[in-house]
Amino acid sequence: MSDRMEQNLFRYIWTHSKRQQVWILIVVALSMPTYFLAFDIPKQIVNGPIQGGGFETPDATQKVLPVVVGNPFGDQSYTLFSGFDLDRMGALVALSLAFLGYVIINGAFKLYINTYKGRLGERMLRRLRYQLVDRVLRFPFPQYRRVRSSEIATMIKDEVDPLGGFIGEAFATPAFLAGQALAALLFIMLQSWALGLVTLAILIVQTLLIPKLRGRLRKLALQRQLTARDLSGRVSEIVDGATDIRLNDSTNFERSDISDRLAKIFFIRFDFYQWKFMVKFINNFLAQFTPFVFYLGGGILAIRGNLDIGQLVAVIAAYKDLPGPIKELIDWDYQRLDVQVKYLQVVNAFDVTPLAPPRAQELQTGKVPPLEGPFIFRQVSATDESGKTLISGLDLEIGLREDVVAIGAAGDGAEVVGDLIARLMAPSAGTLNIGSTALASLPEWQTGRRIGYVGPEPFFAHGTARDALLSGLRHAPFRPPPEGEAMSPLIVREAMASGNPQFDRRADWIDYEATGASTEEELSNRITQVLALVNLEEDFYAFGLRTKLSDATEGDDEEMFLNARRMFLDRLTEGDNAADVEPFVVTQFNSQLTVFQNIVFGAVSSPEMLPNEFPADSPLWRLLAIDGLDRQLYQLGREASAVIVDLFGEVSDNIKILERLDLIDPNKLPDYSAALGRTDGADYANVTTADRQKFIRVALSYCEPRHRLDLLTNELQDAIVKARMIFREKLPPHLANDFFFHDPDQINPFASLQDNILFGRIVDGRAGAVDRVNALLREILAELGLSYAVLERGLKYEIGSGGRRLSLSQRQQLGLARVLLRRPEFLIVNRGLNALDNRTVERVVRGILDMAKSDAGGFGVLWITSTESHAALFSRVLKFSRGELVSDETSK
Amino acid sequence: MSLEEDALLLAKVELFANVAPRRLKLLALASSRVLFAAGQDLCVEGDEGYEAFILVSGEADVKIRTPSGVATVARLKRNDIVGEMAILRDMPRTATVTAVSDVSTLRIGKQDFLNLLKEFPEVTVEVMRSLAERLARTTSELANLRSAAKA
Repeated sequence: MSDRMEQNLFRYIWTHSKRQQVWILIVVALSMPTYFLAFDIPKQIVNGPIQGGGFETPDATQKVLPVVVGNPFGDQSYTLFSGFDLDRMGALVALSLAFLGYVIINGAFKLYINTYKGRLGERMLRRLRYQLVDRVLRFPFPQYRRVRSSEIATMIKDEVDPLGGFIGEAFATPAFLAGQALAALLFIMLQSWALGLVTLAILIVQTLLIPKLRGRLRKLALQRQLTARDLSGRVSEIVDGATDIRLNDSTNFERSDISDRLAKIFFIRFDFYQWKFMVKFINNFLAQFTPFVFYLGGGILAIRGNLDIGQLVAVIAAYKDLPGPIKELIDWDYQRLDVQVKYLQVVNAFDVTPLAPPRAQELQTGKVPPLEGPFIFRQVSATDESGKTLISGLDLEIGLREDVVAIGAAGDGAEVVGDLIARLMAPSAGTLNIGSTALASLPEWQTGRRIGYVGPEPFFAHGTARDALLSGLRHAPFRPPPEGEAMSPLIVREAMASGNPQFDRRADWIDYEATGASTEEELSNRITQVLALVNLEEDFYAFGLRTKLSDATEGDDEEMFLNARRMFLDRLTEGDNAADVEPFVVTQFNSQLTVFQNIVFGAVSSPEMLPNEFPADSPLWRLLAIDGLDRQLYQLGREASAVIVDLFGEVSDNIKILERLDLIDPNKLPDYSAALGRTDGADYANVTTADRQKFIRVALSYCEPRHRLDLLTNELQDAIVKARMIFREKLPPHLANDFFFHDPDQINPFASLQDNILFGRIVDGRAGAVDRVNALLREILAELGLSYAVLERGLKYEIGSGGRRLSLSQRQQLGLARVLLRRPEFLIVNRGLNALDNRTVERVVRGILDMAKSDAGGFGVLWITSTESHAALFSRVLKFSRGELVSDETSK
Repeated sequence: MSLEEDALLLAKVELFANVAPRRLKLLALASSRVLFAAGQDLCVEGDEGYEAFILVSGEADVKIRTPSGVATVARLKRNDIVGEMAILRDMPRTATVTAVSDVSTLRIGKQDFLNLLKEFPEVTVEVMRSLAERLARTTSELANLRSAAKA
């Protein structure tokens, strides 16, 4: 089977849905007789029972509703049922009921056909979308640099959408509509040749003229599609590059560019509407021209007696059913051309060669064979997309268990060796083998598990750090999904009907075996080990300590954390460094906390409850006013503001320092300066509420060890502790759920894990206090077996889209950890840690090499870097310059 | 240990002799007090350095590793500055500084210090002078050690 997309939409539809299309045709055909019969009934009712035709005497009866089968090739007909013998009233009732019956039968047919068509269309749409994404996953690597992701997304999401609606209609609708139109036309013909011919003539004009006029519409629609796709590409570029655009002050160019594109789209669309409504007008006119002829011509014939009135009424009634199908047929034809163009546009964008063959990505749940033999480069050359030579005539052999460093500045060719082995690019000349087979012939399901590659910018999908770590292990559904969550038979059936795979997304896709772990606990150990190896364990441990306990609380942990708190307090007070932490004591002022934190003496549910955020009319202001505390805080805030304004001036060059102080928002400095002027020498009673609040907010953020303005007198501290008690008593009930007060015997869900265990704050300015406290904390958590629980909380950290909430160095470390976790046989690190400092890199390299050389689970390493800093750690050193291997040294 | 005190302290440091008082107050605000217990290291040779310390009280020894063992090359006292070398360029600490008694220091962050140098060329000249002095001192210490080793 060729791996090209089918270019012809109809052939595509036919290939994938012939049986269903034929079935629809059959059903449509079956629906035709009743449809046709329904036309004749009104005439019979009017001419017969209503006007009295055939019922000239009161007791006259007639046979109604005979069943007659005509022979289309001859004159004879067979009467199967001669009809019911009924009087005038009976005939009226029977015929009317028959009419109602036909209406119901026709409606039921229509319902069935429409539902069937809808489902067929949706299945085909699903198939098409799936195929497109499937192809994206098989694109040759350089293609990913050429396409804009948002355009691909637009095509798959929006552009193929109208195809779904059309596919169900592809064969059945024209058949059905043509059948209807022909039936109506035939009926008119049978009633009156003259009127039939007139109708036919106008129809022919209509069907020839309208599609011609619509040709231009189609062209406009195509332009509309392309410009819209372009627009979505541009918009996503603006979003992705927003930082650079703004940092280079080129926002207005983007504005004008967007405006320019929107103008283009506007004119295309406007042109489109002008034509669309013009064509509509002409079409409607032609459709209404026919009844005009009926009324005039038919009327004359009827008046002269050449046509009976019942016939004319029937012709007009039949005609009522003609413009509909005709208009829809014309619409269908337009839609056909439109979707064919759209389809071709989309399909061409995905018709990229060479696609990876499907079997290279086949699902493998079993064991994947190990790699065999060294990587052998024979006269290998490679060029970039512009044709520039990146590496030429390379002869090189790298063993699977070797540890090699390849050194070369960017563009010197060192990274090309890694890219070639990872098959991110293909040699332009020469052969690249692994053992005796061509490297290119290995399936992705083997290389993707056996070779590990880490570049400088690893990608992570939106999710938690844990998801990111495990994302390298999602090879196949290894274990069935949990009970009751498996795909239902209906879902499986539908997947089959749409050519989608039947792998269960909800199954456990994690390849535990690849990590070397067989139980959940061993996996935890492996994750810890790998994170420690890339020097990331501390970071996630710290993330874990900073998480609020309310996030993902596991009930049993709570008691454990309380235990940890008690143990921490005991060990701290036993040791020499009890002063490292200032504990939370409800009757004492805590100097490590801000004034606000001292008053609340607990944690808040959301940032809106913090002093910089709570609104001017918040009830909290009233709580602060008790016992004249507000006056004292106002004084403190005013003094602090005066120092800040004096030091930084109205416009500060030292914004960084000011931001770090976290006392006054740098942008509000002029406001504070003005407020200081306004309130100079004023009595508190005369100061406006706004100015009071301005300064009180500053006071609430004040923390003596951090700001060191020497403003917190002992009396004020006492007043604050007193206010703390009042705050607890008088907190309005509707705010009660927003605050959780520190309580030695209770976990505080709004506070961080660290605050909960220390139940105090590390004292500022004691050298080594942070390290000592952290060490003690780790010791206790390890003793209680909570280490991994903390790390796991840290791993629940949402890393953001593309991992943007991590620093570049953390992303690089995480990328390396992800690959190490699946224990590749050969690891390529292509400048994968270049954002880290040298000492850390050295530690990581040493760790990886130790692991690589271990007997069980050892692996080969190709480390690509620009500097020689760590070359001495590797057994083999390759140096590249200007695309050539210039030195290859192996130490003993 | 208030801001005012710290600013006065900074003014007494030779390096900052010519810096405007208001600027020193700002530097003091950006800095923080750090206490070291006797025996604790202010910085360790070979570590990355992100900060400089000014001794407020107490004394500390400057030690370097030599092939013949650890040598104490200087003793720091009140108003001495240490650690500024490592933040001038991105290189590891060149010496280990250990508190002899309990030492109270004022810690200045790397960026704040660099900003100060940019703003006040006089400070840069002072830094150069002190570096030159230290180099001369270190060289002579080294010579002494060498001759001692030979003897």
